[in-house]
Amino acid sequence: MKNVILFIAAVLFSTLFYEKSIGLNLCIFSVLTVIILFINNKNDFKTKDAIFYTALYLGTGIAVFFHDSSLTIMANLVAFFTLIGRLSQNKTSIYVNWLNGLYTTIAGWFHRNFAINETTQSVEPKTDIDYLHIAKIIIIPSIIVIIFIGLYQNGNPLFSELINKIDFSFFNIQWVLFAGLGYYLFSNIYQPVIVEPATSEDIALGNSLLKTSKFSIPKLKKENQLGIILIAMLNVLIVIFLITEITFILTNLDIRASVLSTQVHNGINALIASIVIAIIILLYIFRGDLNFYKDNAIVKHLAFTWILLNILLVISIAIKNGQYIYYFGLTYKRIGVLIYLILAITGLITTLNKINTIKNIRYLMRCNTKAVFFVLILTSLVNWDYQITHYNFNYAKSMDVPYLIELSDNNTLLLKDQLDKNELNEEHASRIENKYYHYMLELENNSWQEWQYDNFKL
Amino acid sequence: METFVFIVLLITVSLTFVFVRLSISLIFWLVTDSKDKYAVFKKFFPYYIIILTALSIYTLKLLDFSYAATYYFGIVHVIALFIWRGELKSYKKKITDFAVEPNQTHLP
Repeated sequence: MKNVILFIAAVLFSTLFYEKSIGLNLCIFSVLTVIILFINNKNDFKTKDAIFYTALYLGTGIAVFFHDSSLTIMANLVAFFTLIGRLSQNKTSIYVNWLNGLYTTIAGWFHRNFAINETTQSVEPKTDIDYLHIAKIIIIPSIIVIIFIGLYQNGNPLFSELINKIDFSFFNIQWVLFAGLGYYLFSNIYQPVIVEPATSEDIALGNSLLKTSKFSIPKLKKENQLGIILIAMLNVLIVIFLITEITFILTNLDIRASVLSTQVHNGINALIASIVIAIIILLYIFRGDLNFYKDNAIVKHLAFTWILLNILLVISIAIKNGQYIYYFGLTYKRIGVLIYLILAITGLITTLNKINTIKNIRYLMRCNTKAVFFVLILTSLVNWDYQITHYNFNYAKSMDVPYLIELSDNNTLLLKDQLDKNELNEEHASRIENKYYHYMLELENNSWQEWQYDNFKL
Repeated sequence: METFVFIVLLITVSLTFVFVRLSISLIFWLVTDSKDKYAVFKKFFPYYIIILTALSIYTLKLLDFSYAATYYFGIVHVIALFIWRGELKSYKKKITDFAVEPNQTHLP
């Protein structure tokens, strides 16, 4: 039964992807993967967690159908590894899920067939297949039959005619090999495996920080003093910086693109360095027993203040970026800055929580990798090319039309629409018409596997 | 011409086999407790195969996923799996080929 299902899945895999570009096929593949995983791991799908990750995976698959972009395809791939990893072991961190998912996809079948039996300490292939014998019983008879066909063809014209009528042109070896790849892929994933000892170590390590045996009050007193002086000085510095920053935002009337661009980019570079160093300093100060020192209230409050001031710094950069977007339009880089700011705020809040609830560094890693994953999935659900074009035509004070034309085909229909509504210069109009013509041609030539949502708008 | 292509293919596959074999052997040589091949397999095989696949896909992307390159890296993958399988099978043979002493029923 299992082999029949895998065989059907392999044929579907080749039908969906062989010499086809991405479109509806990836969406169907996502559904197919979930079905295969569900058939073999019914119990694992009973948890809310597994259902949630399945929904995310299917969501990205549907997003690929609606707007086929590299970001969406990448998100679909990451969601695929996460779901498989989650089914292999649902108590691990998300990065261990990725490792397990990746390993299962590449070598799950091999691992299962040569899995180590801990009790007997022996490798137990499920079936000891004699590949040489299989090769012999296929190749030798085939060669002899072909030789005899040649001999009989010369002996009888009717037989020769019959043989010549056999047409194997429908048989595509590449297609069959691609189906073989599909079979291998589905054989790997149908029962997820785990990487050891990474998985068991991750489960064993909790999030809480423990008091060490080296707990020494005099030593901690010195560390506490150092922490107070360092963080207090950094607080004073960031307050002065923020005052100048707010003054700049409120009084700046120079809205030249170059000035804002330099301001935002410099701000971002400073922010990256500032936040990374802030987190490293806080992790160093609160790395161990200082968390359990009874007089650590001042250093903790100073650390919280510093984190909050860093969050204010992030907000000030976001305002500058917002101004930049409002005056000169939305671009991928400016969206990237906003995403970085969201991640920076997440990093700062989790650091605050780590200090407040006495957690270890692994807690930070777990929270922040999860945040990156969710941001990736959420951003992949948005058709950015469409949104950039829509915003720039309707809200931005000025915009770069060639930039919009160079974006992917996801904005082509909107550009054509805007061309009919607005008056654009001849060169831009001609480029948009050209883009529209090629996109229409591409949509018309799409096979059903390559269909996109835009195909239904034709 | 065909003979030349065949010879080139043969040399390429042979060299690939040697490289893959060496890369796997290197893991066993570098690990101090390499006598326990199961432990080495468990600890290093996942990372080995992930890195090999990542390098193959990266190179395939550089070569624009041409058929020849795809077949070549497919062969590399299969060779690597067969060598790991061989290592484990030979170890299994070693640990099962030991002489078992007869049960000393006269002893207390």
